[in-house]
Amino acid sequence: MSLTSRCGALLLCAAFIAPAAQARLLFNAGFEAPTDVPATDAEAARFLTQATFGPNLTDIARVRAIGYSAWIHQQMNQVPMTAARPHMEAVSAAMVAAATGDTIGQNQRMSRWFHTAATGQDQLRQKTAYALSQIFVISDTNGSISGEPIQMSEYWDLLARNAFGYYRTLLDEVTYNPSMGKFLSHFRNRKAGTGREPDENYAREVMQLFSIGTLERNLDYSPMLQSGQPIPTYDQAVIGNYAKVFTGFAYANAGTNLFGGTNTYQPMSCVATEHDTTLKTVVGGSTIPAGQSCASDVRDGLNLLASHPNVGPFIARQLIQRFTTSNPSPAYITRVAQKFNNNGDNERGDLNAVIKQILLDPEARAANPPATFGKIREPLLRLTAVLRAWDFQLPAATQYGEIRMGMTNPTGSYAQRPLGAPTVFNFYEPDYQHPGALADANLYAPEMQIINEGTTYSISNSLADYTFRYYVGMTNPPTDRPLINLSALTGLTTPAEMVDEVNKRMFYGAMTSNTRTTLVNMLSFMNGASASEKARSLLQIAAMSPEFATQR
Amino acid sequence: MKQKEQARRQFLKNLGVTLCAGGASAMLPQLKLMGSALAAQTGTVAGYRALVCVYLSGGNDSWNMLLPYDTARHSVYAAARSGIYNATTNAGGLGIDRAALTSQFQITDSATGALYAVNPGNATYPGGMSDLATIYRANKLAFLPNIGTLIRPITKTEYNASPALRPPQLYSHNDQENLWHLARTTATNTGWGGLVADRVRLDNLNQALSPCISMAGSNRFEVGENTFPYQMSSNGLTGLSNIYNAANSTGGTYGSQRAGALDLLLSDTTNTSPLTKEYGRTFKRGRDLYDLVNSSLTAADNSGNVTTVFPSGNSLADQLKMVARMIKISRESSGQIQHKRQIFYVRVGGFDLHDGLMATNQNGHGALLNRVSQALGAFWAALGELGAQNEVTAFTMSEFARTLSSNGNGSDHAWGGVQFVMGGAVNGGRLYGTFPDQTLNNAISFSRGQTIPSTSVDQMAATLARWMGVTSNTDLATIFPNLINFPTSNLGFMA
Repeated sequence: MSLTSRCGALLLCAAFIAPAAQARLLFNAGFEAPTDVPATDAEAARFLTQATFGPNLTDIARVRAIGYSAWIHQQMNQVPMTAARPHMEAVSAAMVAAATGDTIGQNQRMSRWFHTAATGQDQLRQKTAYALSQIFVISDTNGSISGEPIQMSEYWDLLARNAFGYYRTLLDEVTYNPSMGKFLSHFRNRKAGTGREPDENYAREVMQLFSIGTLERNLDYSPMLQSGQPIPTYDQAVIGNYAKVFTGFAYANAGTNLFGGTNTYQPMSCVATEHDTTLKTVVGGSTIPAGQSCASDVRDGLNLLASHPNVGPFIARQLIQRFTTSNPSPAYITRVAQKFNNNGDNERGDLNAVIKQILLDPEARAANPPATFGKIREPLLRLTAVLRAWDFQLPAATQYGEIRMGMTNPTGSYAQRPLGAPTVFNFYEPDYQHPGALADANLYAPEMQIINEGTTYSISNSLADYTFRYYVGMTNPPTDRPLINLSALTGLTTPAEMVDEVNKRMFYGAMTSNTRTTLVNMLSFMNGASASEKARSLLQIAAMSPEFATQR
Repeated sequence: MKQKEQARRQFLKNLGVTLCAGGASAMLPQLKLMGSALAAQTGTVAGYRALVCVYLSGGNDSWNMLLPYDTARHSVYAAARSGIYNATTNAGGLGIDRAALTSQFQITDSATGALYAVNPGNATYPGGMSDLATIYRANKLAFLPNIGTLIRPITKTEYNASPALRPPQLYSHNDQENLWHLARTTATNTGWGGLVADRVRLDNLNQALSPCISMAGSNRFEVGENTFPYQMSSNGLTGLSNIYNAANSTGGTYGSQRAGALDLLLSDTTNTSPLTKEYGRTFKRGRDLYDLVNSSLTAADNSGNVTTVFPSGNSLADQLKMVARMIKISRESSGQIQHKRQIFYVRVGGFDLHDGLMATNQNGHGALLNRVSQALGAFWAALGELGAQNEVTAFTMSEFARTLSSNGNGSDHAWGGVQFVMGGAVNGGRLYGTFPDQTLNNAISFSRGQTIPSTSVDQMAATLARWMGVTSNTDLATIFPNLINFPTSNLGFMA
């Protein structure tokens, strides 16, 4: 059946093969009047808490000068991307040249990630890449890629390059990326042979997690119902057929040999003789005709997924959860999903428009959000927020050019590491409802899935290392990690002034009076303490506080 | 009954409030009495009992964990698995060579006399699952072949005709894992372990420490109506840096000022954000329990340690060692915890082997199962050291088994598979249920050897719940609403 419906779907997809992002820029560039300048530093800081790895004084001033829209525009179009892979290659080359026996590893990837999060100018791009990395998951906990940090850095760069591009392009590059190929095992996936069927791994997860999800959805993400029951988007037969679509992938220069070629970060090629060319009945009963090339099959198969009405709400909700709130209203999801479906120029899947809507939506910018608005901060983002809120003296680069940030394996403390989730289901799931008061109120709280008695302690202790233990002026400072510079606090004379500075930099001016009183009193009771002891105590307790653990 | 249930829940809720307010010690004697009274009414069994759930994450290819050894069935198995694996001549095969199944891996089903073998490992991991085979031969370990998620028994014809009879989202990792944790197919926030704990926890002296303890973070299995798991690390507890602590840390100069401020922040219930409050509650629970757990684990007389040597480089062994230590301090009759019922959760990943199933490296299936076997073998020995073998039952769960047929160098998601139960109270040395015909696409399987389960998760769970003291049919029906669909609620593997 369904040749018509397939063609229909493909026609819809025509918009995907749209001009590169640059063309659109000519239209949108810089004409917006700064009508959305925040009235206070606090409002600017709250916006930056959502949009970046943490506000700093420079960005607060910039947002107040030019407004939210212009800041986003600058971030999207003018600030160059901080690339990870070329840096990793340079460090690796330096190691090889030095012939000391040191080799590049995931530690260097972590150092680079923290350095970029803390100091990179392309904050919105990197934050978006981080959000995307929790949807299009690959992980160095998987033995097939754990030894390939340079390739994994290229995967990160792929996400960052496409952060403001088109979903369809992103889906394509993700599918052809060799690290993804190894992680979800469509790399060297072979067509059926005697006693052998195609690997179903990528076929399943590209649908369940990267595009349409398991249930038919309305624009506001609510499940469609038929006789009161949700409607599955696909069944096992569809997975078996998609498994055939994703056959034949090999290294970029494999030629005609599935097992040939060299291990690089270049997009995978497809070996025609290992590709299944039978007819495939896929999502929605559409068919992909027999006899097509691998490239055509993958194009058609991904087009059908990308044009499915689920994608907008499915991706919108998850990105909203990463940036602003765990519990967006149906209307908020709808507005973002509408931008996904049509950016205003009749283009679908424009992430530029999606991100903009997420951040500028009235629900995100409301001055007095409802009590349920916001999210538990991702534990790692509490650390990056601390690193950005205060001046840190970074260590000199190693002889290989690596700048060490004191954190090579955050999983033990933070239950997270970039591109390091336990499985393709990320560190937590978007539908996680934490048992107790939150579930009783029907609230989602993905990050609570990794918050428990143990991790509240381990996160706190790591934050204590950055705020209390290692500081400029300490005796015998370590040379392999950042040292906090306390001068912004030690120069202040009263406890109240110190707490207000912390409120401005870490709590976007929203610290509650109870928390403020507690912190002021603590400082007042520290009779005889030095300015440094007071500043470090204040920072540690503020960083450990439940209020800082939440983003409103 | 319903009223009594409500009253008990209310009691526990009130108790929780009292404990939070710091009135625990005053309440404890009464609690003990009240607990005993209620326990008597519900027929709770005496003494200490614990369940240990060993979750094998990713979908264990259990058809290579327990395989037929007699030549006839082994050849059917081998054919279904795309032939015997051989790195040079049949790299895509997933079958284990019968010749590798030496006597240390062979076991007999004492119920039927049928011959089986456990995974023999490989050249790099030659021990395979021999430790568990030894425990099986001592009749302390039983296998449940072809168990899985079910709403009710289902035939292949019914499966093909009626999608509504299939468990929702078959073959999907997270959905099927949930069904194992819930042992029901309707939406709920509770798991069967937590619901069992709700009903058997009242005899535990210290109610502040949850009867459910996780070494592997959050999980639905251990969540009840009144029970939420205490989540700790297999490394034990680490104190808060620079914070005064009554038991063992001054927190340095001004440590008490910092502790005072922190405790005020964690106790602040005026914040309007439910998320902020939940974070504070969680952190506070950690702080309230730190002294209790840590001082027992690290007692100077070494009473919080076990001497049994656990294998190194084995995260499951690390977790199970900490479980053994927690059992030890919780069972201590003069200790501060004095729990009578506990449910532990440990977890090990890496089983989603679409690729490299037969690899002989550390990521291959042979290595994974070898580590599972060694970890549980050490745990068994540690229980012997504690004299607690008859009081602790460990069992595996995994979201699904995998296709019998190969995808080239691994297997894909499927359905029914093999789990096992280990403990002194287990009627072991045999299989419970029917080991399936492994011909591809037969009356109970599909084209790639995805097998329709013949035993349900609910039945296994109810059998374990009953052993823990949930004996009333009403309670069992509440926890396992689909149980009524199956021929028996007691599979008989527990003494």
